[in-house]
Amino acid sequence: MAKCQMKKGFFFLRECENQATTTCTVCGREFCNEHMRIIPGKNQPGCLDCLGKQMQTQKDEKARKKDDDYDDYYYDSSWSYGYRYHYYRNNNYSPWYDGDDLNDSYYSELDVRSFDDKEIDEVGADDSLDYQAEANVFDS
Amino acid sequence: MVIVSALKKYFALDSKQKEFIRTGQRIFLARPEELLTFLKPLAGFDKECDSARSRCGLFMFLVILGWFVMMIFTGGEPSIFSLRPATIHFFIVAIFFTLLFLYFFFRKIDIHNNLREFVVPIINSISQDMNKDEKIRLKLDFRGKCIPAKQLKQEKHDPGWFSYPKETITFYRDNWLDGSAILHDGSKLFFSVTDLPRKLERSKKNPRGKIKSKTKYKIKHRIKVGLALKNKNYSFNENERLTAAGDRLKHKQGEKRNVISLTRVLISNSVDSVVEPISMLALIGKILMSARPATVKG
Ligand SMILES: [Zn+2]
Ligand SMILES: [Zn+2]
Repeated sequence: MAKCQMKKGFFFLRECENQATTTCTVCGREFCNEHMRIIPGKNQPGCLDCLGKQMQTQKDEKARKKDDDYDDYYYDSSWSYGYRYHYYRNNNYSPWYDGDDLNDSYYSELDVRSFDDKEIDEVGADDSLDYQAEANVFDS
Repeated sequence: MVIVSALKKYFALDSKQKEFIRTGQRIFLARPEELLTFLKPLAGFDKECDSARSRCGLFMFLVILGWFVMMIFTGGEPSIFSLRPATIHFFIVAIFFTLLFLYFFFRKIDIHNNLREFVVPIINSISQDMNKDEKIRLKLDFRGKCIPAKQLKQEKHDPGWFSYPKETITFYRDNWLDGSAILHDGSKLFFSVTDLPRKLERSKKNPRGKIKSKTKYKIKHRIKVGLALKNKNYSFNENERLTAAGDRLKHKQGEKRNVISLTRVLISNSVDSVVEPISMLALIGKILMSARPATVKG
């Protein structure tokens, strides 16, 4: 199997360097053990993104039963993986992305910011001017 | 059954976790994983502890109700499985006091919900942006908001003997969370929550001459977040978005780092109210949204 397909992080996204070991039964991507869990009640592997998103919708719908199967995951990383999407949307937050795979379709809905903008400044003087102008607007 | 499972979870905690429940405070310098390994079982236990306590309350009510019903239907001479009435009464009293004991026990070992509903999600989110071997410095103080050690000042308005209304206002300062961590990009994050409770105790005489006492709370939750961003990586622009929600901004431009802090104040009227993780995460997000990649002079 290839490299784990998870973009980890909350405010900063980055690639997971581990080797993938299992395929997520929800999204079909491949992940390492750290980014995989067993989906409650299904006994099938699911990635933190998919599990986290399921947990968020369960919470939203108030469909959570008293002895919720997801309870074990609520204090686990799964929670923040699901919560980050909710957070980006509701707070207009664009996570920084420190990596070289910006074309990953799974994350295409996210408006990521890249540190590679640095290179633009180095290459084109015009871009650099635009950037300065924008910065000045905020200064005033 | 939630009472049994809460007890099981409590006895499964290690001695340091139980010590935290007992003393209410602890200072950590630990990797995110170690910290969460410590906090997660406490969070899981606390959730069950809350439901177990209310279950005890419910059962106590049912025992009393059942006893009344039984007394009415049997004319005060209950007999079940040919047991004598005295034995039955003894069992009922024993069950009631066991439940009462458990109720107070669960109340004694209860942790403020801020631990599981605020601290754990915050540490969870921050740790996603940390390198595995970096350590979080964290100071927790869950001893209680309105304890004598946290009292700032007290004002008494007493018009004299048998004169009303009498008022005592006590101010407290409870810095229950304080921490810092180095994030993945090398930025240093500081975060803290300080509650400022104001307790108003008032007794007054109603028109019929009865004296009524009331205690009211007003709590300011001061949530503070600071980020020291490396100038090498970011340029930072002050803008109106930062202070949009009434948040207070402080900005210090240093030679190597820009230090930006945002403070948000929320108000509630119960010592039990929980601060939501979003109130802190939103502040971190606002600072990071105002940062741009530093321009490299090529
Ligand atoms: Zn998945
Ligand atoms: Zn991974």
